[in-house]
Amino acid sequence: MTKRIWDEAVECLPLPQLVALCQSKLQESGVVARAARSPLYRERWATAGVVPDQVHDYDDLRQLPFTTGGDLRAAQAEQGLDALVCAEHPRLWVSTSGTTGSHKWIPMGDEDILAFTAAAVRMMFMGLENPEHWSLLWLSTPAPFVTELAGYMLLASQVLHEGGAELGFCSLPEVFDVLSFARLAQIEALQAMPSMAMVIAETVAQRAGKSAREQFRKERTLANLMRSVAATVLPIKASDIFKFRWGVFVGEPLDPYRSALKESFGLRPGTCYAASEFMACSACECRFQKGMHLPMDSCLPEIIPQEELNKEEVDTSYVPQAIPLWEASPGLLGEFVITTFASALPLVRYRTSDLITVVSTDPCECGRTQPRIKVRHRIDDIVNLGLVRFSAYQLKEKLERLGAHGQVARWQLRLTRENHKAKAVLLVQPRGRIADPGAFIEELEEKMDELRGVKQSWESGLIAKPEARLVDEVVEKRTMSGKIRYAIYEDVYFEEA
Amino acid sequence: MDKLNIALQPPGVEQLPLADLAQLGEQRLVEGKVIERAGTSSLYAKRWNRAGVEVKAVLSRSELAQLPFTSAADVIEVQKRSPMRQFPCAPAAVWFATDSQGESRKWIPYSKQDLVQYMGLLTRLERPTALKERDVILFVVPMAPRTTNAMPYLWIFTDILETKLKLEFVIGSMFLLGASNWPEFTLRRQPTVLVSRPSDALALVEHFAKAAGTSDAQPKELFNRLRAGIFFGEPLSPFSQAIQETYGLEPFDCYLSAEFPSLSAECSAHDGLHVWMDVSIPEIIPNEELAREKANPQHKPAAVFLDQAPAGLEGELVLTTFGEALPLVRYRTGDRVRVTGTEPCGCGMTHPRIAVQGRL
Repeated sequence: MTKRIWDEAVECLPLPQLVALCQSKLQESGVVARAARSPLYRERWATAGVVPDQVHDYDDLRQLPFTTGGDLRAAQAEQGLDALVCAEHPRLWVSTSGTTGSHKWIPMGDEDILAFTAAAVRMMFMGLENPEHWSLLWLSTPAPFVTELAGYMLLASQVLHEGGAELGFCSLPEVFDVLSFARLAQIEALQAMPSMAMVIAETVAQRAGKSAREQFRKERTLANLMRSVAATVLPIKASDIFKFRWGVFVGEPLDPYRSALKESFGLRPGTCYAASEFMACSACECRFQKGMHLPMDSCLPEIIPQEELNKEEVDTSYVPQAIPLWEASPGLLGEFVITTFASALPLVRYRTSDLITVVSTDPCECGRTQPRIKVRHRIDDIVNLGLVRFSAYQLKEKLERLGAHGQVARWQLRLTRENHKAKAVLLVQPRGRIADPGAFIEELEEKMDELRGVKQSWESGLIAKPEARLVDEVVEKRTMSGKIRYAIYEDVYFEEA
Repeated sequence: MDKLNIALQPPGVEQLPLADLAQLGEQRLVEGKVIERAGTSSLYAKRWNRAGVEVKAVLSRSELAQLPFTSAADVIEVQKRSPMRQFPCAPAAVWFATDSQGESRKWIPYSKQDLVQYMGLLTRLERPTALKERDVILFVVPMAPRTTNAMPYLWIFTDILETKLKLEFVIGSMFLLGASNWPEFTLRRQPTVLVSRPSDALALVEHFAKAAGTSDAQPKELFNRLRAGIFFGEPLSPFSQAIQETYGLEPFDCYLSAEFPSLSAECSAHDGLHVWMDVSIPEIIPNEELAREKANPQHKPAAVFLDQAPAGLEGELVLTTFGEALPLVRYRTGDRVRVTGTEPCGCGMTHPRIAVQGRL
């Protein structure tokens, strides 16, 4: 019988036992004692009166203060890198994609890398229909970003864990060359960012007619004429050319792309949630696709409910209360907080800034009991358009320096969709009268194009072209603390198209 | 698995007498049934059939020398005309590719055992280039699907499981120079060894200066601990002097290709790259034979086994390898080399040495 679950003994444990396992790993891994040596935690914990030796279970852990990406960034800037490494020696450093403009560098120790290879193979068992013999094209942005490493961990897992997979790798700029190989080698699955995969599908459709016509010009046979006519009349889809059956999509919300990917590639798209800071704890959708399973045997997940976040907004000294994910009700929305058992950079009560929804803590139809979540968007002012990410404050600075054709009184960036593509719409309420609205709009659109990667992304079709609109009034939205929220995600941004 | 089973590495293989190495290669050719296995690949099957080659047990190096050569053009042609799945002789765990040449690139399958062998050859890099415990390696990777894109990651596994030198890696790519601060991070982390293409190393000089906030600082002023460089992907010699001047490091040349990650490496004697005789049977087609072939394409050039070639001989390198997914049989690499010596080297290793001069 085909093995469908990589580690059934763990992944299908009844929830109370899974919770017990999670807490025993918290203790056995010695993660708190290890973390206590790091300047990332040392002083803050000492101030809070934490005694690391006395942290045994979740009730003890929940007394510890939260840690944020900002804490990590500050510790990296102010401390020696060696001091931050809690493992005996760092094996590899990977970089985060640097959403706020500065990249965090994450050390990985040997145990982290081995845990990651095991996690990689487990995830593939979750996402693919035939996990024992499968083939996959791994499309990634090159080092120092973590997706490249993730692909090779998967390859290493095949060597280490006797897997039967067949893999191909491709860096983004080489994609069309490599895709023709994937077709010839009958590769069955594709791993990519959803927006990237859609660009591939659209380019294929555009090129198909052109290359059929060229072929006819070169060789004027009846067959080539028929092909050329067919390609002009009938829409050519990626699925006519590629035979991918499954897709694993990461890096941005999959839901808006799901039906477009199904339609154009004829594949079944699945998704994972991962971050450079905690790769070995990536959550992944199983074939039933009702939320992503969080591996509670490699991390301790919590959630800060939205109402607690609201209280914190109003009173910044308020310490929001988190609840363990296994006790959360379905539908609960809040910030994801993770404690990992990592060796080189353990994260203890790390606030991810990612807003998640709890889907269920009940056993899944696939047999797994690991709780399931969906990821919505970041709670800070990071604008995530897939490959392009920037802080709304970067745009704010640019808008404050306008002058040639007009000035901005109020503005707001609405994140929406044009079909499946992410689209940023800049609403501007001008200050005073604008003599030439067309020129002003053009200037505003130029400012958006100046943000790193924006112009290249819409030119290459990864996102829709951003648009600026002048409006009589921008209705400002404020956070509970009264801060203006510049980036507003519209519901359609997350919804299945 | 907590240790790799690098079965192809008898202890002390780097220092076996040359005659024993030649014999070991022959033994692996015969016992590994390389020719019979190769005969199942679309790369050889039809071509050999047309040439009247009988796919049978080859019992010696001299019998091997009777077989036709294989070329890059053969690989491209077969991959264009035959189903890709008929190309490997054993299930592929991964496919790597060469640089694209015009419209085509060659796709090369590697089985799991081939990957383990690749890792085994990586362990050998450590001795000739005198890597030390806790060296910090900056590896500038070319892009996937090239074999070299995988190299640092496979190296990490090799060291975790096998050599245990506690090597530390920072990996960067030229493609992401604008979108990542890896040159800045490298300055903070202070590598001891650089691994890159020679031209990438020189292109990086200005990026390191910029990262340091100066316009004209040389890497040797910015990297105090940088001791050695391992260079691959193109001949080192045209760049060697400039690299030494700007980086102040000892450069080691390394030869590898997607078809076979031979990982031939220069040692501290700097008198050519050691070609590992236990994982391949190398031959040279001398220049005069190449010239005769050019004048008369019907001429079948004669090749000399590398271990029997006189020092100074120049010509095209031909390799026969014992890979599982794709054994190369008398594969013309298209690389022009010069034999620098077949006597034992000053470093103590006995594998013959070549200098790679460039593409034919």
